[in-house]
This record gives sequence, C-alpha cells and structure tokens, in this order.
Amino acid sequence: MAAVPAATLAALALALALHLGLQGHRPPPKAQAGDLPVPPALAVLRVAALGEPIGLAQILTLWLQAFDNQPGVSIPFAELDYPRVAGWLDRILGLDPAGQYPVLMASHVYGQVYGHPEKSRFMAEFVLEKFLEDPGRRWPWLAHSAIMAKHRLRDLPLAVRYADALRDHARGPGVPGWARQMHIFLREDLGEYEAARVLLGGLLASGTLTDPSEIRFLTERLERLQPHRPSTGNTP
Amino acid sequence: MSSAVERIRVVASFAWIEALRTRLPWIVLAMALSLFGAALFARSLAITEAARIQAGLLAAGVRLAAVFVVCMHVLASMLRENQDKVTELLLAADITRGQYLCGKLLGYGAVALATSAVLALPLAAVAPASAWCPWALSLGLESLLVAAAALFCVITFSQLMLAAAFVLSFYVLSRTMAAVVLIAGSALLDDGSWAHRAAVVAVRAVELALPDLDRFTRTAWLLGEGAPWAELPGIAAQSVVYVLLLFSAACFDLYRRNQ
Repeated sequence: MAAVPAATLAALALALALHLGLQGHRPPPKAQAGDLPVPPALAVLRVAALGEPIGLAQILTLWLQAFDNQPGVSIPFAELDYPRVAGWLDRILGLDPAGQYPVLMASHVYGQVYGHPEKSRFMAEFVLEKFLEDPGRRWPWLAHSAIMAKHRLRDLPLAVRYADALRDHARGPGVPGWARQMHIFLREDLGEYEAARVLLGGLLASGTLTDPSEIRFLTERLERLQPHRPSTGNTP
Repeated sequence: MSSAVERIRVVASFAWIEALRTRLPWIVLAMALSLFGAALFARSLAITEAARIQAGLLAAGVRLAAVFVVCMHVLASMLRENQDKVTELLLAADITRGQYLCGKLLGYGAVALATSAVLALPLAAVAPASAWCPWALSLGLESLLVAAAALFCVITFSQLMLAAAFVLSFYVLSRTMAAVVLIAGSALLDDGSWAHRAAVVAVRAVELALPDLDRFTRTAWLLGEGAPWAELPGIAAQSVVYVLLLFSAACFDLYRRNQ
C-alpha cells in the first residue's frame, strides 16, 4: 500500500465514486409487455441450446415469466401479444416435451386474464392442442380449462368439448375417474339429461370402474337422473 | 519398459501437483457452490416443477463450467511451462516426446476427472443416485476429451487465444452438430441447387470428424428420462477412441516440430 502513489489512490477512489454514482441514478430494468419478441424457429433454438435443450427451455420459461412480475397482474397480461406468448410456450415445449411448466402457465396464468375472454379462449385452445400431443401428462391442464370454460367463460358447450377430449384421449393409471367422467356431469348441467343418462349407464355397465366408492357415487347419480331431478350443482 | 512407465508417471504427477499448487481445487469448489446457489435462486422463481428447474439449470451450468475450467487449466499450464522453458528442459532429459505427452495426458486427465467429480457433487443432492452416477461418469469422460483436445491445440498453436478459441469452437460445434445436421438436411431448405448439396456434404464431413457430444452427459437423465447406463458403454468407447486420436495427432505435431 505504501508503494502506491497518492494520485493513483485518489484516481481509483474518484473513478469508483463516479461509477457508483452513475449506476445509482440508472433506472431499474423493467420488463415491458410490448417488448416480447417473435419467437425464433425451434431448430434455431436447438442450435443455440449448445446441447442443453432442457436447460434453455427452463431459462426461457423463467424469462417469459418475468414479463408477468409487475404490480397489477391483469394489466400486463392484457398487453401481451398472446399469439407470441403461445409461440414461446410452444418452443419451450419443443425443447423440453416432458416439462409441464409451459402448459400450466397457459392454463393457470395466461388463461386467467380478467376482462378479456377472447384471450382466455385462445389459451384454452392452446392447452387443448398441447393436451392432444401428450394426453397422459397434460390432462390436468385441460381439466382446468374445462372448469374455467364453465365457470368463468360461462360457455358450457366449450367445457363439454374439452371434457369430451379428456374422455377420448386421457388414459392411463394416472388419470383419475372424475376427469374422464367430467363430460357426463357437464352434459347434465347443459340440460342434456338423456345423453348424460346413457353415458353414465354405459360407463357403469362397461366394467372399467373398480373403486366401490366411485361405483356407488355414480350409481346414485344415475338414479337421480331417472326420472330427471334438479341437479345439485356438484359438477367439478 | 518400467523406466518409460516411471517417466510417464513422474510427468503425470507433476501435472497433478501443479493443479493443486495453482489453487485449482478452491476455484472449482467455489464454482460448484456458486452454481448451486444460482440454481437455488432459479428454483425460488419457479411456480411449479421447482426441483426440475433446479436440476436442469444446475446440470447445464456444471457441464459448461467443467469444460471451461479443464480447457483453460490445460492451456495455461502448458503455455506457462513452454514460456518458462521447462518443456525444453524436460525434453532434453532422457524422455521421449511420446512419453512426455502421455504423462501430460494422464496428469491432465486425472485433473479433469477430479474437477468434474467436484463440480457434479451439488447435483447429487437434487438427483437420484441411479441417474447422478452415470451422468457424473459421462461428465468425467467429456472433460477428459476436452483435456485431450486442449493438449493437442496448445501443442499445435502455442498461443492462448488461438488454442482456446479452437478448443471452445470444437466443443460447441460437437455439441450442436446433431441440430445443425437436421437443419441442413431439412426438406424446407432443399432448393435442389449444387450449393445446397455441397453444404450438406460439408456438414456431414464435419460431423464425421467430430465426437458426438450431443449424446454425452444429458440433462434428461437426471430428470428420469432415457437409459443412461445403457448409453454409457458407447460414450466410453467414443471417448477412448477420440482421446487416442487427439493424442496421436498431438504426438505427430510435437515430433514434426522437433520442439
């Protein structure tokens, strides 16, 4: 220390103080909803991943999520270009097909924007598209979209359409009975009592149900439908 | 024969001792802790699949860090030795160039394996042992391959920037070659011109010359996908063959330059 000239120390201290002063007055970075770029092609992202597609997918997920971390969540969502958001989510799923984070974001985050039902519908259709690519793992998000369609969008035919997709494609031991049977109860709510009776009776007669509690519940439900009694509104 | 083995062992031990004395273990340990902290921070940002995010980002970071550390250590060590005339002193002694390079490769290989083992340790806390073990082994083989490439480059170029640029470019190209080949062969890009066909042939030729690092050390193994143990023998075989190729090329260049 003694060997360092005083002028050098003074210049170092002055330069440091100037730098800290400039940095202190710099406005903090803020993610602007309008700044979301057009997603590049999946092939380009695969090259840019340098052999780590899953790592890049996770970084992109957190980066995309950063556009939402502002006070007043609904305002930034409304400003987002939803086709671009869906494009980014699609690229992320292309890099990491086993990851469920993007589909959750689509159904639970971007699909929940208030005051913009067209955006909620857009994201619900995106969830349906992705569900059909991997129904065994992505059924929870479509089930949520069906519930959202019924209760928030108040579009029962749309909810029935999603529930029908769950019935037709969601298979495997991990898919619970209520998800596969949702279409029956939604049809009952839609006033399609005869269709609901036929579907429920067919399900009970098929022998695919093994849980005694589930069989008992559905049998009681079928009895309530014959003749039709007012629904208790306990559709999931 | 035993004296040749002894000479190789001495050169290898010099390389190992140098790594210890240049505080490389502390640097590697600090990097491992920093990467673990960064992955932990990323985990806190996630609203779902937090453990998956942590493991994925940590794995990607560890892999890049291991390659970077091994590459720079080998290059810096060899260049310092060359500038201090230690290389000339060693080669003036009763040791052949082949024995010298073999000792260096073994020493740096041990450093690469130890570096990858330390850097891979944090992942043991976030991934099951059945997935972590083959992943760590593959990382060790990948680091060994990079050490051999760095040794070849520093013998050939004798300049830090040039050698580092070549090694890192070689590594990046090897890891992205699979994606590049797919793009080059895409029907959408095929306009039937001779230029496109020549480009495809060139890409294929480059692919043949490079190791298939795309198959090494996959993050998907840590996340429960793929069959890492089944792929490990193929990866090990490729590593051995390519290290031998790089070692032979380095020997050829060292003998040719009569250094």
